[in-house]
Amino acid sequence: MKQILELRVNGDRHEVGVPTHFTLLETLRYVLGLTGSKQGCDKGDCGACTVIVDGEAVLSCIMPVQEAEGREVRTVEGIAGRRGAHPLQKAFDLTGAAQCGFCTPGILCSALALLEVNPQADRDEIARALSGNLCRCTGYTKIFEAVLLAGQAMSSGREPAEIIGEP
Amino acid sequence: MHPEELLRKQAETAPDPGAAEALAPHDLSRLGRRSRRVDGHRKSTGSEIYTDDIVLPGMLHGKILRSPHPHARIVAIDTSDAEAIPGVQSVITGRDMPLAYGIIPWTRDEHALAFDKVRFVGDAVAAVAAVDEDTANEALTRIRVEYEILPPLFEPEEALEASGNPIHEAKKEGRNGNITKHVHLEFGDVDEAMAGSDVTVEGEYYFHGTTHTPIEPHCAVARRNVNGLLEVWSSTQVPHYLQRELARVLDLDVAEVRVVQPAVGGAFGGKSEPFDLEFAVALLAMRTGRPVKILYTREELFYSHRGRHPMDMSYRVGATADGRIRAVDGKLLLDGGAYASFGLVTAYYSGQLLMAPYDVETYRFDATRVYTNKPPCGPKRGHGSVQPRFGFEVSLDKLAEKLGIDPIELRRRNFMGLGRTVNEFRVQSNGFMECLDKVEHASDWKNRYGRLPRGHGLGVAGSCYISGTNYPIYPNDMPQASAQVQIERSGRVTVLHGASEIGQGSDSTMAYIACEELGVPVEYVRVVSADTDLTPVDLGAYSSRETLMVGNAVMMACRELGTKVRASVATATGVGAEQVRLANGWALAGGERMPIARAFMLAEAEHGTLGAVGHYNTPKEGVHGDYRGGTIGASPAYSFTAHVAEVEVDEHTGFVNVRKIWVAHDCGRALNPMLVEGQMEGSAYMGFAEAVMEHQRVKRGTPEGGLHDAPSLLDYRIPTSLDCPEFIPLIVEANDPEGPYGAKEAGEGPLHPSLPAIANAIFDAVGVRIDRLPFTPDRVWRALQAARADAAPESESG
Amino acid sequence: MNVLRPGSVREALGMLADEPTAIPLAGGTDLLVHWPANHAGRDATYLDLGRPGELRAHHWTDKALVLGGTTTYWDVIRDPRSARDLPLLVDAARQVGSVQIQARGTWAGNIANGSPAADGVPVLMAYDAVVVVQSERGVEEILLSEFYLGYKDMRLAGDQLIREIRVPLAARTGQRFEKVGSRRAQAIAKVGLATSHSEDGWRVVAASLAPTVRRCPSVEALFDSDGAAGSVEDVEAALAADVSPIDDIRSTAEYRLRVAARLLFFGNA
Repeated sequence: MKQILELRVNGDRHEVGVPTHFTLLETLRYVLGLTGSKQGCDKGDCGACTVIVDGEAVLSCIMPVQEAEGREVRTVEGIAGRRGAHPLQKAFDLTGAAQCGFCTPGILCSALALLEVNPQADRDEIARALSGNLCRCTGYTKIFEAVLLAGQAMSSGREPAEIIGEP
Repeated sequence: MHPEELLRKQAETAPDPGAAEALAPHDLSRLGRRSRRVDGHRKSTGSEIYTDDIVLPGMLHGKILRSPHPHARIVAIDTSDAEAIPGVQSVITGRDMPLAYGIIPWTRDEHALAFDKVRFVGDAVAAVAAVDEDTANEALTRIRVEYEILPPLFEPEEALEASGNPIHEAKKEGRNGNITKHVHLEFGDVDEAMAGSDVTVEGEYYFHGTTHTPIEPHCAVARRNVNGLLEVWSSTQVPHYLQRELARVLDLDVAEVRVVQPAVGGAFGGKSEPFDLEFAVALLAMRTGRPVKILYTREELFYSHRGRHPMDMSYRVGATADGRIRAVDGKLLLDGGAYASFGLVTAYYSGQLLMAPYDVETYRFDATRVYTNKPPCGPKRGHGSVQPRFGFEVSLDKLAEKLGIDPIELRRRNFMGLGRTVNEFRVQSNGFMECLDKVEHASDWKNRYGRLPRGHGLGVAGSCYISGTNYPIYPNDMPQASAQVQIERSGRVTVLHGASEIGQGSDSTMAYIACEELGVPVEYVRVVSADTDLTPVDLGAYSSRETLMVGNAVMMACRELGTKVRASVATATGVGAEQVRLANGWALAGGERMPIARAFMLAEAEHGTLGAVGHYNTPKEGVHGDYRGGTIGASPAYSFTAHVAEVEVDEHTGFVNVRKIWVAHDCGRALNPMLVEGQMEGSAYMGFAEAVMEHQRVKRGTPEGGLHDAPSLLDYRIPTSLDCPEFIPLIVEANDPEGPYGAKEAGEGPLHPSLPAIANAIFDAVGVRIDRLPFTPDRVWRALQAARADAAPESESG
Repeated sequence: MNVLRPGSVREALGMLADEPTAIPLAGGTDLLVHWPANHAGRDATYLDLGRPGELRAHHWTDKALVLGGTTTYWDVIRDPRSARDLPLLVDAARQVGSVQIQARGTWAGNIANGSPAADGVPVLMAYDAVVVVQSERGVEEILLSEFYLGYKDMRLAGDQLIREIRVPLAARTGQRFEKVGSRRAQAIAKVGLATSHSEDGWRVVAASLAPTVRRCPSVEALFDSDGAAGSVEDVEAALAADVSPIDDIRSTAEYRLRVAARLLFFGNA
């Protein structure tokens, strides 16, 4: 059985016809071609599918797609703006916070949902906000570093590179 | 940016050409500085393409039927009902690919789909391709398999003793088919040295088994072109071996197979051999004429496994009264699971990689790898040597305790320096002493070890690992690593190499080397890797070989081109070629400078189209002993590590809170410290996780015997951001003459000491030795209860 | 698979009356994990409660916090009054899964899922919460501590929805929530404990120690009788009378009972 839904994703409106059992993740990846959000477990355990819905980080692999209707969905593809990369993305790049990069889209969404409310979040708050995003490469060290740097940049309006003195 | 614009842009930051003469080479180099990854922007914007992101026109979805029995003979398979479902395009079974394969040519004991027998719950039996995933899943439920159940063997001891129904038939009559490999090696007279030792310690240790758990599940896509070319995209770390095995099993010429490795979302050794899904998509694509994709479910990863072997280990260590190690005697039983995988190598590594960084007078090990009816074990980060390192470094802690010597001091006294290990491997660089110094200082060891309040403790451990293997998996005299580099008039440099970027940063490392040799900014470098149609052969990302081996190959190709460019610049400017430097986007010649693109133009005009190849092969003379097995574990160079771990043990719950791990690692020259730190942190993280949380285990008994205990990321617990200790990376650089610029590995070595350092810290915290992993709350609590019962038989009170 | 999407509670109750086998979906963080993977498993009808805003809102009265049928953990965490007046709710909510689960997971869903290892249920039970269930047949109020009949078995008929959860306010001391898991987030409790003391006496609630989350009357009586229990053995004996832990992949019966007793004893000593 299929249903027709109107979705708002990264500011774009889409009318989609999807099977009733589809999750938001399946719709993003298979219907809208937004493959940035990843499927790591399909059971809500790994966080690689994390997207932002109405400002909250949610797991798109366990969100029935119809529940996204009427809400603002943001995925990793929607983080960068017309003026280029978001400070959070720059911070990830500068600190080496992505290794294999598979958890990165979800982590960026969880971190952004936090920083947009609380750019001055400390390490503990960041750790708590990312506790639903499993990373297997980094031990989280450089991810914390990146999110702290991004928060600094967002609250000061300075460039992440400038803050750490990189060219 | 146009070269002329680049000229203006860089004019401010460029070194003054006059002053450049006085600059040391490292002032003009980006090596050794923190640099961005070449794939960083793709990874931070969601635009990186992983295998599951590939969608081809007309693509079908495949699924694999797996055995519900741990040990059974396949009597019959009926696929007719499945084939009759609308939308099902093809169903294949083991009969369709009867040739056995295996990553090690001497132990080919696997079939793409089980041929006559299944040997673990999860063994692949059949595969389907259908128009969508739902239909494919539906088809699996309609395949009827008739099994003749055989008694399963779950315990390695059982497998050693079993007489009938071996898991694999013995190759020679009278042998036990359940033994994959037995290795017995002795260096010096261990019994005599042990007898002459002033003190001995012994213990039984157990490593429990863990699995890689990359966040990206295995995925493969295949397409057969009308001209016959079979293309396979796969989340693999060994495209070359995969290409060869695909060709073998599918009876194609190797040249008819193209393997492309898209971005890989973590591997850690778990994608370093061919898997059932790769053969299945290939054959299904050939049968249907349409592209086919298979993506493992998370559950399937736990069954495909190839993770770290459970090991029963006993160690006896003899030493002099002042702590010099005279004899080490180890006996190891490796639980290999259902197939050989890399097991032959694992069995050797379990003994061969233990004997540095210490100067050991005599050494003996006896390692036996057996088959059991469980998911097959294989190589996981720190292949074969993490388990023995745990047992041995805890033994050293016990020795230090017995002798009343500080555990760091004990390790210093046994430092081997340069030269030969007891098993005759050649060590040409060794920064272990500096590693010890660094962790001792950073952790304030002298003031805190043995002096923290009860429940808090520090522990130390050391280790050594290989930077590449001296010999390839299949014997041949061709280069083990190779690269091709093209440069052209725009300043663009393209590096084509076979190394597998699996997150560790090999693409970036190759780019940095090109920048160093050719003087271009990193933005000018394009890296094309791991595509068997486009890139020269590399053996893959295993045994920590990429930086050293492929790095040398890239360096060789770049140097040939750099020589040409410098010569052309010299001709144009009238200075000697030896005075020309290529750095930071410039060619600097005497008092003149020109954008690097102009320098490339001069060279292209003089020499024609500019390209070069490079390769690397390991030294074969004098690097290892001349005994059977002496080549296995031999490496061009060795890395060294020391950890200090700080723990807090909650005596009410048994919860071990690892607070900090100081990680000092000798990686030779750190080409990009940021990447090196990332590897050190990630390695220490993985070791920490194995020590306190993770456990790959199957159920026993009927009817559930052989089922995985916890095939999900909820119950196979890998650490979250709230669980991790603070990792403090301390880089040590003992440059090795074999490494590019002296570089050695950093991706696996720094894992080893995590486990014993945590074990030793628990002892410092609560005075209890726990020699069996993992240190879960239940196990630690039981050990504390047992120790308390021993100490005070009467009941505790509040 | 059929998904019903009522726009109001009234409509939802009507749909449930017509189709009492429909499975209410409130957040879906448990249900979606078991989403069937093939056609055959997808015969079920789900009643998606995502739309009715009236069901999401929570409010405070003089005497109680009233959680709606789809109030999420985050709704409670974010409300500054929660930490002040009912701190265990916040402590427990932060222990649920991860931030993403807390954003979607609902208190009522936690109750209806009936897991013996639930994180939200123990603290609600320690606060004497009342479950308000509704159907077209009318409204029923059930004390949460009397809601469960056995493993995954509860006093909730097919046509009934959890409309509200009423959490009484009171002067309380001894409020503790302890969860022993193998990691600090995304863990299923080996042992979960919630305690609270008010003029009505002690409430001691155990999770992962019996087929349902449950109050521990013997431990409560022990605590009520002498404030600070005499010895850890006394607590262990009382707890043993209240619960029936088992061995499973997450822990052992022995560990669960003995560690829970120690946590209760040392926490209360």
